[in-house]
Amino acid sequence: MSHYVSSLEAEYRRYKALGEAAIAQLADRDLTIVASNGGNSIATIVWHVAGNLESRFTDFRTSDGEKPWRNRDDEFLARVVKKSELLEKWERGWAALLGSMSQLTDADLTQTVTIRRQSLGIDEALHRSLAHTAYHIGQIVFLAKQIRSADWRCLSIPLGGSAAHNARGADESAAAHARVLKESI
Amino acid sequence: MASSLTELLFLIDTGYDRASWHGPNLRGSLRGLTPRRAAWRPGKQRHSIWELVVHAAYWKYVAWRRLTGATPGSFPLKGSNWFARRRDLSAGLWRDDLALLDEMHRSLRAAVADLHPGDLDRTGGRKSKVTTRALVAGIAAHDVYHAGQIQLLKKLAPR
Repeated sequence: MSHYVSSLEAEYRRYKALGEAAIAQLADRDLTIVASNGGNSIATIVWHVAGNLESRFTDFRTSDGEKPWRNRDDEFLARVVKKSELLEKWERGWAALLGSMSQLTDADLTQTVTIRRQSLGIDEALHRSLAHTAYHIGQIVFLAKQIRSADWRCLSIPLGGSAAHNARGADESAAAHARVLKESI
Repeated sequence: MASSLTELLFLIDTGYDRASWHGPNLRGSLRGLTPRRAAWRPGKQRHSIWELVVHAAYWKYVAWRRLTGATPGSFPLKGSNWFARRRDLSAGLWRDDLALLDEMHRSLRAAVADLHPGDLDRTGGRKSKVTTRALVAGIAAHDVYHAGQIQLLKKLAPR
């Protein structure tokens, strides 16, 4: 059993589902809106998150996580994209991550990988990446909420809904949360 | 796996207040904020930074309670999940809520440090499907998720 890898993968999938449930509420034109001067749009953040995941997890065990073909600065350029194009980029990044994770067992976690010529444990590489991904997906959800305003469909326990949620004794696992989010799209 | 506990501690530390690779962690994102900016909200029915702080403190408390088996109801504020913090913008109350967040983090961290590595893959009771490991990793990610949002709120909140 790979408990550790499974729990991390479930957590990753929770954040993937959160990002997708937020993006699903948006139109093409919403993807380029910025909340403040110099701020990033959802398109920019998605480009960065997906670019990071694709670079880190392509040939994860055998090559440096910062690939020569990655252009990190380019990820932050303002861009106009359709949602279909955005989701294609998003999925490419996630496919690299989830494909690599599917090959891992708990016994592999003490092995090392290289990122920017620095050697680090696979467990630490996954933790760093999960934190980076969660950080930016928090921003995607925030921006989507800002754009949809009163029409926003809540992605967690709605305001005033905690008592009902507790009374239901809901399954609070990351996998269950991801499932509920997917069903909401 | 001997390193599991150390890694989980690393994960919650870097999510909260230890220098992190991904950018500001939760405590770092709150540095230097005034109560007025912390209480600012970007729209109706939207959360302020202040409310995110108490929300994060509450979920650290819930995780601590599940790890230690403490009885429910000992969180210092009445209610659950989201707590209205809008009536009094005094520096003292803001400091109190930051102290609450620190205290909940310290308690949680101590509970994680006390775990036996063999406990990490156990679930918290018959009905729960969440392993201890998943619970702790989830709290760390939750801190960082909201840190990302606080960074955006700070850009929007009037100085």
